[in-house]
Amino acid sequence: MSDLATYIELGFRHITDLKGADHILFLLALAAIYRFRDWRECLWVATAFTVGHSLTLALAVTNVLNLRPALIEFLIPITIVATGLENLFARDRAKTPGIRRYRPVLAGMFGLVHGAGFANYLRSLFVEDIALPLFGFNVGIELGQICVLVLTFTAFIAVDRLIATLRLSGIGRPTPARIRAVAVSSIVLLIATRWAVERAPW
Amino acid sequence: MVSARLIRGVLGVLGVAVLAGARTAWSHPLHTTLTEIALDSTDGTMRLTIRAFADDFSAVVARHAGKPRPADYNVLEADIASYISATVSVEENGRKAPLTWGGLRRTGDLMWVTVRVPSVRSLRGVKVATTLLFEIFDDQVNIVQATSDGHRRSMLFTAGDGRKLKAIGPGASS
Repeated sequence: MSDLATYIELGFRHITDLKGADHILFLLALAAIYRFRDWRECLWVATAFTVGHSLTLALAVTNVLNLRPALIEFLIPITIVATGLENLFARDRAKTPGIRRYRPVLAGMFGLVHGAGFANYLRSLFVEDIALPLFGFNVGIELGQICVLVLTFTAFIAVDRLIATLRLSGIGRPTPARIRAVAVSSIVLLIATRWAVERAPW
Repeated sequence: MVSARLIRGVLGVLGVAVLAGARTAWSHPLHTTLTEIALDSTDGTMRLTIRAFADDFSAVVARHAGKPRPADYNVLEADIASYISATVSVEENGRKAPLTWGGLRRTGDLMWVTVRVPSVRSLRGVKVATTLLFEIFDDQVNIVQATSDGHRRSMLFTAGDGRKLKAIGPGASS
C-alpha cells in the first residue's frame, strides 16, 4: 500500500468509526431534512462541510491557527445543536431559495470547527511532512462521509415507508419525510445538547 | 406543516429516553501511532522508530508494568522496552528476531522510541506485527512505513488484525 492510500484509509476509518459519534451525528443532522431525490443537494452540503473541515485542518497543522482543544470540544456539539434547531424551525425550503443557499455556507462554517478537532493529532504525529497525510486524510474523510450518507438515506427510505404504512401522515398532516426529519433532528439535538453541557469549558 | 405539538411530542418522549441512556460525551480523538522502519545497509541494522502520543503511551506502559499512571508522562526506559517487546513482533524468514533498545526522546506531545534488529541483510523476508495500545483503544490504528533501497511500503494495523504479521519488504503482497 502507498503512503497516500494509508492516509486515505486512516481518514475513512476515522469518519466511519461509530465511537466517533459526533461526526456521524453531525452528518445525520445535515441529512435529516433531505429526501432521496435531494441527494445532490445533500452531497453538496456535505462537501462544503469537508471543504471547511480541510481548511481549518490545513491552517491548524501548519500552525497558522491554534485553538484551545477544550473550546473546540465544546463548539463541535454546538454546531450539531444549531443544525438540529435549523432543521426543526426552517420550513418551506422549496419556497425559500435563500435557505438552499445558506445551508452549504452553514455546513462549511461548521466544518471549520470540526476540522480543528483533531488537527493537533496530525500536526504532532507527522512532524516533517504534513501535506500528503493531510490530503489523504481529508480524501478519506470525504469518502467516508459519502458512505455514511448512502447508508443514512437507505435507512431514511425505510423509515419513511414505515411511517406511510402506519398512516402517521396524510392529507392535512405532515409528510413521512417531515415526520422523520423532526424525529431524527430531535434525537440528534438532545444528544448534542447533552454533550455541549458536559463539555462546557466553564 | 408540522405542528408544534408534534415537535413537542417527539422531544418529550425521546428526550427522557435519550438523556437517560446516552453515554458520556464522545470526543473524536485520533488514536494512532507511526512506526518508521529503515535498514542501515552499512551495518545491517534494521531500525524501528515508533512515534506515540506521550499521554496514552506512558499510561499503557505504566499499566503493562503494573504501575499507576504517571502524572508527568515519565516512565522508565526498561518498562518501555518491556512493553515494546510485548507488542511489536519482527520475524525474519520465519524466525522471530530479537529487538534491542535504541533510545527514547520526547518532543512536544510525542514520544519517539527506537528499537533495533541486528544483522538484517534485506527487508525482503521480514514481517512485522504491532499491537501497540490495542489494549486501551478499540479504534487504535498503527501506521507502519518501511523504506529499503528506495522502495517504500506503508500499512495499517488495527485491532481486527490481532497479532497478524505483515510483510514489509519490496514486492511483498501481504
